Amino acid sequence: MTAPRLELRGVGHAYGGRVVLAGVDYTLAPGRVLGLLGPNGSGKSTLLRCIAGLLRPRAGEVLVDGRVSVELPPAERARVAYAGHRPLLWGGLSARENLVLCAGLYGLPAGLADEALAAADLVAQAERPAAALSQGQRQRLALARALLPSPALLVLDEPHSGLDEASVARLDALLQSARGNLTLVLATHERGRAEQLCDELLQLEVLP
Amino acid sequence: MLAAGALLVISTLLIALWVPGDRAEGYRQRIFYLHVPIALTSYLFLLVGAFYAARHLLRRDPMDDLRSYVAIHQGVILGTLVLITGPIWARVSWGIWWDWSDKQLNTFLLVFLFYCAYFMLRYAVEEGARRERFSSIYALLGIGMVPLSLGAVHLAGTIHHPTVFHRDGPAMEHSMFFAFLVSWAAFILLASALWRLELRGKLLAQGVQRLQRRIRGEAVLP
Amino acid sequence: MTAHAVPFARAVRLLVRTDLTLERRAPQLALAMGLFAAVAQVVLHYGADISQPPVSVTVGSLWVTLLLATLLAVARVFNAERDEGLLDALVLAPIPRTAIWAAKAIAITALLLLMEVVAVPLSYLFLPADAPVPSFGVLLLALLAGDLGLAALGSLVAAVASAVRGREVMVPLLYLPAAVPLLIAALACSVHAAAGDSVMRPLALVLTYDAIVGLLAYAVCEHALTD
Repeated sequence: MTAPRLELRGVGHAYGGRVVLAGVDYTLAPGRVLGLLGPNGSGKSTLLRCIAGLLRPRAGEVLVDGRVSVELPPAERARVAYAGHRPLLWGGLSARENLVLCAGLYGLPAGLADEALAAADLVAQAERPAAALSQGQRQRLALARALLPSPALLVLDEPHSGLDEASVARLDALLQSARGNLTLVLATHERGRAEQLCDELLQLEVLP
Repeated sequence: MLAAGALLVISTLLIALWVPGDRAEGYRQRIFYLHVPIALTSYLFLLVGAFYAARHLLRRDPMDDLRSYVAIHQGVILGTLVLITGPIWARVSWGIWWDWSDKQLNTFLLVFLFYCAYFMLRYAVEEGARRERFSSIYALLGIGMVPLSLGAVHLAGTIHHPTVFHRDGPAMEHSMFFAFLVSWAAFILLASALWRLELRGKLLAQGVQRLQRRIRGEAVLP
Repeated sequence: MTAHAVPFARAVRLLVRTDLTLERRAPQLALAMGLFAAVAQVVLHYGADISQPPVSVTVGSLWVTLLLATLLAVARVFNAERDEGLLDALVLAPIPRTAIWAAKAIAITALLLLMEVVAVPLSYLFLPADAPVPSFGVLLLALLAGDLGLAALGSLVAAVASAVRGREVMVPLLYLPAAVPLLIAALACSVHAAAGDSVMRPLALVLTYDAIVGLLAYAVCEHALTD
């Protein structure tokens, strides 16, 4: 699956009249890694949700390979993965069940779940409910869930938050290995880490 | 607005002075010329609200949500009048305020309660695309409720009240029907004028808000 | 091996199985609804104590109980999806989004059926010895047909209410007015049957309700689930 080109055209959004994003224009070539920088309230999460196709911006549009992100048909949607602040996991299901469900929802064989568990080093925790995992383990599981369908566009909202050093290193290694095969957009507020991981940076500001 | 006012005056005169009194109920039956046209106009505006709600869901134009909301607002205001004039009529005709066997009025009550919840929903969601969509969903559901409520209320009559009440009795005379139509037209005109007026007011308020934001140096979307 | 679109029926099956698995592991909602059904019948009995209740009262109190207990389910079923962001995962997955609504409707139906297993025998048990007993077959038919409509409506209302401020308050306000026509029609089924009349008309209305509400909800649910 080839990585898509991403275009932001005059993207703007407001919550209850308060504008958090206005006129964001950007083009990201296929396979590039974009880091979104900015303080809290600068609209990073909102922009990421727009890119992932979870939120229709109030103004402008997000194009994935020329198609509006919120209107992608199901088969195209499968190429986009998103992991946010919340882990997007069923707390009452075990780690393996979460991945098996994810595989099912993407029309993939359940066997992929075990591969993903091994890749995320969660084999020992496979039968534990997701709610009982540690923060770092849950974050890894969330990422494994996002990567399971082999997305071509990956959207990560502060993937490093709440991780210990070992997990951060593992995550960075994982992101490095995926480089080139996918278009990646991630938000962070650590400039150093962003410069090390990303090809391009986009700085967002809190609007007045 | 002017036309609506003029027609209202004419229809009031017609109702008060011109139409023949009802043989059974006399002068007080004339509330019929207010109650029924108001109810029909109310339904009409709920229908208009549902139409714009459907269009909003298809096209996502915020204006359509505003049109739908204002139409439902008119419908509910008129609905309140229906629920006031109905019991008055019941009281003067049958000596009771509320008649649970009155099918039209009870259908109206169900629909009215449903649309009151529409406003609760609207106030519970922050202004924005989500509020517009949720409102539209509920407005559309409401129009499905009208035939269902009507059917249910007719059935309910067979549960609690074995006898069926016929309010209108013999068919209307021509002059009565004419006065009825004039009154109905007057209320449609009035409600349309109010609809346009409220819409203009809402748009002006939005414009003022945007200007205030600009003056304060805040960002605004195109 | 690449991901591909998953058809409606398979997506619904997956999601229903997930919901039922979760409910089986922590059967909070099923227990709450069953207990509520019992408590509500006691309350209704003392609230409207009639020594010779007509069928419309005995079956009516059963239906009111069921309707109120449904509120418990409607107030809960979409909360985890909203609060834990699971809805994001579902909305992004290559499934028809209507499957999310349909799966919840089926899960609610299952909960309703489970609760009725408790509530219906109880309501018969609580009846005075000489009370007119509604025909069991007709009651069952009305229950099954009614559950579908309640669940179709409930799933949509839950999707909407879970995303608004003060959802505990909004659920009954949004749900009950829309459910009244169904209540009347379903109740009329039992009353007509007890009087020896045909139940065709009320049953037809229940099914019409199911059809209208089901189709409307199906048509608009995607707008309730996506931003």
